[in-house]
Amino acid sequence: MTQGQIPIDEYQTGNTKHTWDHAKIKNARKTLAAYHYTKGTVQRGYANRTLAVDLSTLSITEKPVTEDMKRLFTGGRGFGLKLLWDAIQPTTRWNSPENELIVTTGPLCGITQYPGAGKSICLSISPSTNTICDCNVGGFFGPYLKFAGFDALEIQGKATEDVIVVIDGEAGAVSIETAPLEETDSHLLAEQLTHLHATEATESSRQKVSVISSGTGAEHSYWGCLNISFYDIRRKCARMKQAGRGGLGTVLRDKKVKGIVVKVEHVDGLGNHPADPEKLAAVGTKIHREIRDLDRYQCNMRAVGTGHLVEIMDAYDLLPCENYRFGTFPKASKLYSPKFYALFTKIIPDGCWHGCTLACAKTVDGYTVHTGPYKGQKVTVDGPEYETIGACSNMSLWDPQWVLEFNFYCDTYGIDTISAGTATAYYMEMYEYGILNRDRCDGLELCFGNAEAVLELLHRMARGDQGAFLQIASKGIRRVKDWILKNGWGPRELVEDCGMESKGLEYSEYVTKESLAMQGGYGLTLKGPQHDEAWLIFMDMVNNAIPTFKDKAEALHYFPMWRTWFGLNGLCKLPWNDIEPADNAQTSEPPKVPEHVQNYVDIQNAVTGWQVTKDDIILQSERCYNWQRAMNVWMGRGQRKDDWIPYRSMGPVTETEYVSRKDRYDAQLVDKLSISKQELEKLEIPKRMQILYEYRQNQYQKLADAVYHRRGWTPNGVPTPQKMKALGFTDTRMLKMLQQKIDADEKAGLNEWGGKYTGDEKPPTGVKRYWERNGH
Amino acid sequence: MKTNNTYQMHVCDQRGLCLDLCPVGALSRRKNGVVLLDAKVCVGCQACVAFCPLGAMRKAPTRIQPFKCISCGSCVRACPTKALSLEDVPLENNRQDVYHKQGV
Repeated sequence: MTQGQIPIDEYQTGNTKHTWDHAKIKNARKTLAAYHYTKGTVQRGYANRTLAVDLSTLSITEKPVTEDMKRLFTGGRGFGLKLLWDAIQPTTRWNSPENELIVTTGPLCGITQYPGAGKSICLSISPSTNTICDCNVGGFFGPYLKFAGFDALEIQGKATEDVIVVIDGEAGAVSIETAPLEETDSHLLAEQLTHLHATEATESSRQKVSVISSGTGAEHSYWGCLNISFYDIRRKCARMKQAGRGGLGTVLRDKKVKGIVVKVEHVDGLGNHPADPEKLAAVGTKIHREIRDLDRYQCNMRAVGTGHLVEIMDAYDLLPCENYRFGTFPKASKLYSPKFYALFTKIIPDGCWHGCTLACAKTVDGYTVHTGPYKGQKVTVDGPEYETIGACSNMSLWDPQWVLEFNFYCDTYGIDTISAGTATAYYMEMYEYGILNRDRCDGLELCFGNAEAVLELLHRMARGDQGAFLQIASKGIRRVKDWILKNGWGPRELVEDCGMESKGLEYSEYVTKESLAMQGGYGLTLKGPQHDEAWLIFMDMVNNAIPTFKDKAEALHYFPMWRTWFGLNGLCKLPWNDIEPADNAQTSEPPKVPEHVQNYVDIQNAVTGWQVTKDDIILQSERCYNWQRAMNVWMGRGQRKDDWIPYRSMGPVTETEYVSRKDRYDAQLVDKLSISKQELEKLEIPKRMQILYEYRQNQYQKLADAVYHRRGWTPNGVPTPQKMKALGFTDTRMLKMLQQKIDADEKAGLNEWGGKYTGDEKPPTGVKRYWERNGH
Repeated sequence: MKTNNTYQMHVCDQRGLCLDLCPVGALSRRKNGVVLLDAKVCVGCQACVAFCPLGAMRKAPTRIQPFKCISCGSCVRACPTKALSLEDVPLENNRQDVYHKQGV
């Protein structure tokens, strides 16, 4: 494709064009409920009201956002948690009618001057984990929702037939309409709804529409993702970003919602009416310049997006290969970023929200689909991003064309690439061991590297195949483990230890065996094993910067709190540390990127008119983080038992893995466990593995002890009422519930530290019920 | 700005690298080669301001949308000593040079 300076009107992707009979589609719709609201203006980052849609009762209502709500929950994910707390019960599950799908914005969401400021934060009770799942996703929906008049959208209840929800910020109207003729798969539906709802048949009008959709795969699996559209005026198609984790798309389709449409009248640079636009522009321009000057020497996001990580992960033994057995692979260079750079369309502003110059949202345009129902069509593939490439290396797929095929179908079917890839990699390993086989897999030959079988699995899933394997496999690793064990097909340790899930959610794509802190970053989390809370591998494993349990606990306090903050505000994490100031390494704390933290303090103040400090913004997060953990506890999913992680994430499960890194493991037995070299040589490999297993399991429990203590929780991982009060919460229902849980834990003997301490080692404190002491 | 034995003005030379940065298509090139910013379409993201290799796209404190020289020639007409002139200057290696150096 020619590159650069192509007039927008003349830009061509070569994609297959679709035409639909708009009048017929519209005429087939029935309006089930309609609501008119007074349009308002956003003031200093807040629309000051939220929108609630109930699909069962067909009611549409507004709720005010109080100053108290802003003070305690800030916005975004915080607002989502507060709304959920008011709406659900501890017994609510993903498919209960009262479960909500919530889309929130945050006070900084929708600013254009700072990169990465258009994120929507989506929350619901996840089918995978039976507790709250939050996803931070790009696309235009969040900013438009706010500019249409609402800081958050709650969807409760279930429709009886397929519907769409339309929020028309131009007319000041919200409606629930039946959608019998609309497409379901996202690459078609997003385009269709964009064209149907754009005020005029122009590119700039289409750019003022954003759609949330999922797909047929979401209907038949627990891996449903939400696709959030952002119309691209050059490519002339509705591109999409995915709220991938935890099955939020499954919830959307369970509610029988095909799509949620939002439309705005007007977009300008000051839609948030910030208190200090000059400051905002100055800080934004500063970081845009940093990106201009440094990105190509740092992450090269503008050229290849997050895919630049593949070669780094491969070099550091962190790229998941063959279900995380290995961290590097001889064929991995086939998926290095230059391979995708050759395929990406270049020299286009690729931000998923206006003004994001980090521009990581790359696409392959005019890609010819070669399997399944859309075979032969030319389409735009959004991505692949690192996680999707990692999901493919995990399944041992080493051809970029198959990565694109997998990426395209996961997106359009509304399936999370991470869960689908990680789970399929597990099924493949079980297949290799004969625990699963062709008969048990409904005829699918799921050996590592069989790309056709992977795509066939997706197609069957999207068709709603009733095969026994398909029915279980589409619900993820946890259910398959139980199914294998129930049938007695494999030994418990192997089946449990190989499957990379925690809390019921599949791991994202990093090998964590050699970084204890990162094991905590995956396990000691709120929603499950996702890298968005803390990414400490380099700090811990490569630079050895956090050697003690106390250091690791401090990192597992600060970084999850800090990263939570992006979700409170409607921001993306990438412009924080995927671009760094030139002198960052000379600062006192390079991993925190102090100058950028100050930028964020400045832009929050510039938008809201507050006068917060670096410490205040951590406090904002700490409130939200603890509230979410407390809600998990309330739902029976937020204690030490729930922070269990599989041994594959801690160390070598199989002899092959041990032998592949024998020098490393042997050296650790000598250095860390004081086994002499002579003794070691007498030990068979399984015995060495056993010693390492016990050591590493205990290390993880000791880490949990240190982290719980640092976070101000009980030894069983429960936030204490004292902690919640110190954070400013006075909700008596919450405080009482936590006290009851702690008392029940006390009776059950669970308020004890989990690690075994020998010699000079000590647990974080020897004081019983330490949180009841004054001053803690 | 003095360079060797002549002076260079710190203004837009209409090379148009900003065209490929604008997320909303507010920047376009006219038939006469001049790059224009449509302030009604602009969303004030400052990407063009920060990325311009000449610093020719600027932001005034009074509004969020930036502004630039459109080679209208009024400075030429206004200069009392006739020190300014409007000339066609060919740009070499525009694309390779800057796209490569700035990432794509």
